Amino acid sequence: MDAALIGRLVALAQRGDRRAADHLVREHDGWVRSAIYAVVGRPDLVDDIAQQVWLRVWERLDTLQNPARLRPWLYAIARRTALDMHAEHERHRSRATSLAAEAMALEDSPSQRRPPQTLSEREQREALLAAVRGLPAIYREPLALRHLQDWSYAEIAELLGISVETVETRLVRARALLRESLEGRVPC
Amino acid sequence: MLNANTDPLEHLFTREIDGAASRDERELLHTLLQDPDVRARFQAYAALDEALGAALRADFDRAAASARSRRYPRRLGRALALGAAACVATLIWLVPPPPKTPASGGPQQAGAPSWFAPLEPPGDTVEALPADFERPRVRFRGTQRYWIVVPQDEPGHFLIVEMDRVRTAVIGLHEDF
Repeated sequence: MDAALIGRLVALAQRGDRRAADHLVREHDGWVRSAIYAVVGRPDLVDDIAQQVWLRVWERLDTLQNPARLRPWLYAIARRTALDMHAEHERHRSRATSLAAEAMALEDSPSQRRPPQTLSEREQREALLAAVRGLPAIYREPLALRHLQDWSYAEIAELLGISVETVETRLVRARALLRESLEGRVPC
Repeated sequence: MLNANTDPLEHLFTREIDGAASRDERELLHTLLQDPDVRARFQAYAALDEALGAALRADFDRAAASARSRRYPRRLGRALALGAAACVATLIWLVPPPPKTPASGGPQQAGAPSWFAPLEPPGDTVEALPADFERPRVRFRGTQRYWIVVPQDEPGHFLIVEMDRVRTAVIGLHEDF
């Protein structure tokens, strides 16, 4: 979708045009979800966060002055919303986990523990995902966007508001960190 | 693009697997890959990246799958709402209409007034204000518009519900005019 068309759609949506708003959602929802996933790394939270992101987008659409900056503007909202909702979710989960841990500590005994298992393909995938989640956000986000959206360095750079060179350096470092953290666990 | 803080070879590998390498860079890589060590390193690099991409895509696809599975209760809710609406419509259709009031417009029967009763004749009624009357506060109403977006069953389809919320602000009056 070219910039002029996006500009017209944004202007129409700002005046309350439902079809224009619908077009904008259809055009951008895919990568917004990828960006949310890149930020929180939790597929089960993506749907709820995306819903909240679009609510915030329509509430603030009037404040978007330059439609050419729609993607970075959407990304900023998606990232902020994802971080807020993830933090809130973690707060609830830590309360629930501490209660569950207390209960398990009372019940657990050596005979009830799981026997060690060999590293299956599924476990290798889990190890990979855990390593990605362990990456600092500045490395994790471009890496996830690169793989999920197949975007060029220039597209990722525009979204994140950084230079193409920085995108490349972050991708190199992300892969190096992953290799370090997976050393000996995943054949690489 | 080479960087002093990272291995130049890894930059070359990264540019190649991301499809960002120039023609010259690809030729350079092709030459370097003649070395078995470099070739083994590149293969491991590419294999890890491929496994990573597959894992990320599989994990991300679970988001879409969980969204689909969570839509079933919505569908059930929608079906129940439609069923309830159909029942109400049937009841309204089956219940006999209330007896017609006399054409002369006589007094209404005691109890709740019928929705179909004739309206009161329009007109103002002037009443004396009680001594302890307090001037009512003035209400201002503004409309706030927002949207709710609900993903539909087909990918890329959404139901957008436009919400108009009327907000009322109450302001006290301190001067008579």
